[in-house]
Amino acid sequence: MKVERSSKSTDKEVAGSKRTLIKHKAMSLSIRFLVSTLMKLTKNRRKKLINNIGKIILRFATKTRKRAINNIVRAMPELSIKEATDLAFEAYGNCAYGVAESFWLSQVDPDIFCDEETLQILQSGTGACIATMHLGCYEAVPLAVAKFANNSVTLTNIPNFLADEMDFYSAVNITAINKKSAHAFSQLLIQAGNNAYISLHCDLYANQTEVTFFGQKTKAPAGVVLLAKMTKKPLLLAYAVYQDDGQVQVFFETLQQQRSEKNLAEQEIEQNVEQVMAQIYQRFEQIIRQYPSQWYWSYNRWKNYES
Amino acid sequence: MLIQQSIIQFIEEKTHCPLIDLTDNLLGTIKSFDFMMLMLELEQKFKLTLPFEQALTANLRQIDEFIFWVEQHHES
Repeated sequence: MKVERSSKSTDKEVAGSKRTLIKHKAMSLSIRFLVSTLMKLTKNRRKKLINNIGKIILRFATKTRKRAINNIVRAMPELSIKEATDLAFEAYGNCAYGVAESFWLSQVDPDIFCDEETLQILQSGTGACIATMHLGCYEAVPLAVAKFANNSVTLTNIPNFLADEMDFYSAVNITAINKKSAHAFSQLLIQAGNNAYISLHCDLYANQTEVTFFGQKTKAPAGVVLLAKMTKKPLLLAYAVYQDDGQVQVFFETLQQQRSEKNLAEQEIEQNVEQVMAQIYQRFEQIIRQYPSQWYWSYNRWKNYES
Repeated sequence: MLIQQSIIQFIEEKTHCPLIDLTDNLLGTIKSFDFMMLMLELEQKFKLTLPFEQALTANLRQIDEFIFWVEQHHES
């Protein structure tokens, strides 16, 4: 009896994994087809189309739309409901295009801006930790890093079967570690040890470090700061924005902390994690205020901090 | 011994569990964020430099193995 049951369950498992495989293949093929169709359009038409699709999606995604509008009103109370609603749709459309561009990263050629000191860090080959955000083209920061350094690493939510098969990260020399992988953190540490430039999005909510964001208390993921401290690597901040003509611009800045050995030794003057995160979030806020129509407003950003 | 106590105390605080099993997987017990905090705390408290990239290699995944690894670096 036992043998029979075991063999039945093995059959079920095999059938299940076959189904998953077929599902993955079908999804991968559909996305490939969609991408190849989109690539036949001019850049401007493609942008307009995806932007409009994003807006249509938001019209039907009630919860996402309400959250975006609430977040905008919370962050910028000076805006009327109509202005906040318009901004929510514009931002969602822009973000839809920003996400879609991940599928043709090899065709994205960002303009890169940074000061001399940051440029030296990027060209040194000794690695850095980069705090980035969901603004404009999400993957443009690791893409820009890859133009300077051999070892550009990021965390991704895109499933392996899609990322591997479609080759969009490796094609542009980015190492993408799947966030959901059991060994994601170990892989990240190994990469940090290999002098990688690690870009991590840290503008989401995470129950880690308290920060003030748009004048209101919330929490944020501080992994990038801890990783920089632990690996003794410089900490940079970077973001990507679209220009009106669709051109991506990537900006890198060096966060003024743990600059020298002296600073490291003198713990009393070393900024703690909370202070560095406060500095990052202050800068994030300035950037979002400058480009409000390019940030993804629909995250549950002030979770558990309802006013 | 002091290192062992510090590590166990840290894990107990994070997990709110007074009895931890030293053969448990370290990253299965605490979050990666807390692991980094632990590494930084150990480096500061015991004036150590820990080769972080080795901290999670195959033979260092259990809590007791991690304690032994930190102690070795302290002694050397």
